[in-house]
Amino acid sequence: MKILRINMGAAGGPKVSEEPMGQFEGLGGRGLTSAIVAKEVPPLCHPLGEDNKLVIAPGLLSGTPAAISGRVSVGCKSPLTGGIKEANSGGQPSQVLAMLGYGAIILEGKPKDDTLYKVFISKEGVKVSPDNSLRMLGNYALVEKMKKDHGEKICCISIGQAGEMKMSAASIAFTDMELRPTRHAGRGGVGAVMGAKGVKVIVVSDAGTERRTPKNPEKFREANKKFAEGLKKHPVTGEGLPAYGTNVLTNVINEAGAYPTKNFMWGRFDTCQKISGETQAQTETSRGGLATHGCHRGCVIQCSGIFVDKDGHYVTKQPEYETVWALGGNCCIDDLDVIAQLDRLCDDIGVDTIEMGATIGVAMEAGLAKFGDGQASINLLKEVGKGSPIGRILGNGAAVTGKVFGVERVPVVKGQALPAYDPRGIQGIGVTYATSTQGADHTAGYAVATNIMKVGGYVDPLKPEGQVELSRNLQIATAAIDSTGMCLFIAFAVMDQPETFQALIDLLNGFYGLNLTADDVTALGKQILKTEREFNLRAGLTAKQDRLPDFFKKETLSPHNLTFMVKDEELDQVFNW
Amino acid sequence: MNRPYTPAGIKIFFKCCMEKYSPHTSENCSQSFLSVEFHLSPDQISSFFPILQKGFRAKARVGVSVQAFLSDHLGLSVEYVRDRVKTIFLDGKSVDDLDQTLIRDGSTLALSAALPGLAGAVLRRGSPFAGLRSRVEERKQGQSTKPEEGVILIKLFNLLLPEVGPLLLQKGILIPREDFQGFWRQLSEETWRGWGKARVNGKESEIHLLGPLIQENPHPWILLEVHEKI
Repeated sequence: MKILRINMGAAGGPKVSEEPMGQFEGLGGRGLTSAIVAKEVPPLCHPLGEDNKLVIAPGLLSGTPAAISGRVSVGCKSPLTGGIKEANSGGQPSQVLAMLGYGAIILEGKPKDDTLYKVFISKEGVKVSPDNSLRMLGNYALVEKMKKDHGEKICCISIGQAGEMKMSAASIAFTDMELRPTRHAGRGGVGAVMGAKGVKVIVVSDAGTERRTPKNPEKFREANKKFAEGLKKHPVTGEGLPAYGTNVLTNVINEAGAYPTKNFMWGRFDTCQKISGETQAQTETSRGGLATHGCHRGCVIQCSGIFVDKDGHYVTKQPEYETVWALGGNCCIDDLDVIAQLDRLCDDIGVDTIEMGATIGVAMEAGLAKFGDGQASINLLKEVGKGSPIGRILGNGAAVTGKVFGVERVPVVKGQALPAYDPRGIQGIGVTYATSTQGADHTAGYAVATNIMKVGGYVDPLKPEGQVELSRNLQIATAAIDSTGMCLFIAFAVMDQPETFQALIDLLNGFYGLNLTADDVTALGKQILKTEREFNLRAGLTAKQDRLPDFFKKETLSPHNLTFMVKDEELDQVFNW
Repeated sequence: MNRPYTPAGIKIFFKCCMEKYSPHTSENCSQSFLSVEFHLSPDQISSFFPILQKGFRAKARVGVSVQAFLSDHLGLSVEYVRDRVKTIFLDGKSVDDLDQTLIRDGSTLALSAALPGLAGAVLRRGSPFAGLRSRVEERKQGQSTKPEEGVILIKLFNLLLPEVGPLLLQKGILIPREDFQGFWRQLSEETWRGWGKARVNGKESEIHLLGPLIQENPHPWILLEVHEKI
């Protein structure tokens, strides 16, 4: 594997170079992006300046025949949080980049003017060319243009208008199996950093590429078979997710009273069953869409789908739980067709659906629209794409919008919007939101296989003080899984089936010819978090930023009338290992 | 996968349904509901699943454990509950111990399969991550009381809908009239056009007349039965 480095600020125009992995050998995904950012980016630099770098890294197993290994990580200093960022995505590019032999792409420097560039990567080499005709295209139109120019044996990594305008909620789109820009590294404003580098799109050709070959093919093949079987036989990964997608969570989180509603005012949304995964799947299939579909080749879970309108025309991919919540329940919108339109707009403009949903919720509280008004939400989002003054405020996220309009209830940590689980309803998730290196992030403590991985030993689940220990262990395990390129949804099968976890370790060992143990995986997770914490400290993010907004401690959440009760001193113990 | 129902359970549930429901314990409501009946294909029956997600009421013995209710009232086999009904909420709180947690009059019981994500893991029965829930959450809900008659609200989610839902619909569920009206408004004409006729209080009714008929009817509750077409 090698690193592709593109200096966008080089004298005479962008300069392309390739180098061996060197000290980064053996790293992938989040482990690699965070290591490069920590080593090469000055923590106090401006996120949109020439010193910041955008790192795109396939996972350790991407490009191999390993099931569900197509996640890609994007790292940089975040314009939203001011700290280190890793946002990851599904889609096709991770597999193709890895098959082309790239462990990472690093975009660095900054063009001297506002010229937009297209990067074309193929087996024959890398070409960076100016193309101002792409200016202010949405992701969908952009990808259509790339198809006309380069054919269909490509995949694209791109930004929409929000990225070009360097908005802090801007995402980076990764095309899916149908060559649509539906998969996004959404969080933290990574799209703004790509925009600041002047790169509109990276087109990757898969012509002539072949799967990476394992060092121990037999061991790898056997492990892959067991791993895929483990995923298929588990009720979550083999039945629930394929049937209903991640939106299967809506009814249950609502029932638990942890479904943030009306900008985090309530813990339940009365009409949530209208937008649940069950209703969504039924709607999709009855209209001729798909309720079971993968986001990249090699996915055996198939938690996505295709959402079509009443006439059977494609609207967007199946919106995920967090998207349905953010653009739906959080704004009191219970219409799946409206939510699908909002999702499509977010993908096209290139903004994070969680950040935008939280932002629209704050805007509604500020009186810019009424809660429940779907058309008003659509109009607000269109303003973001146009870059009007109000659109630019909204496109910079919930924290900026709250500040501009004087709203106190602004659900952010380190400037990043909270996802779809109210920390007053599920307190331990609040510990992760507060202390994650990434800002509020539900995926930061997601790898629920800590018991199998034996991270942190046994924690009594009924001991109240266990929240800090559990959150710490989950964050360590997640950082490790994020490095493999494996989708986090493997977590349940790995948690419940020791043989599936062993198969995951064997996949890594079979591919790289290693003898990793669970302890090695844990050590990797710890190392990643340590690197990220140190970067954040040097960037000025201290324990004082490891806090939830005050209103979570002061305002009770119905129906259980709870506040967030974990003390600051306890939060400070999360990284005290 | 284990079969959801025990043969004995089906009989018990059937008996409970034949006794009909009352929306309130104190109310004799033998005349307070309108009976609406459909005969549909399995695909068509799934159109009614949104009602089960929102919840329906059942008259049942309360003061009994969740396990006893699931077995004796709903007729779910112990194996099915153990292996499939992995996430249970009683009045919005996760239930871990099915034998110690008691159903009360007016309780809401929600049933789900295992779910993805950290939240799914946290809320799951007997979760090693139960500590991440709220600290004030009761570990054992309910006081020991003498079993008596009561009414509870039951919600059914995700994989349990196709597995348990059709039998519950076949036996009849009680829902507020406005819930049925809301559900009916959501259905497209295209969906119900091929459904043939409905029976309202035992009399055949053209399907397109059902909406106005229910609108005009003063009964606050609907007893809904959906049978598989033979």
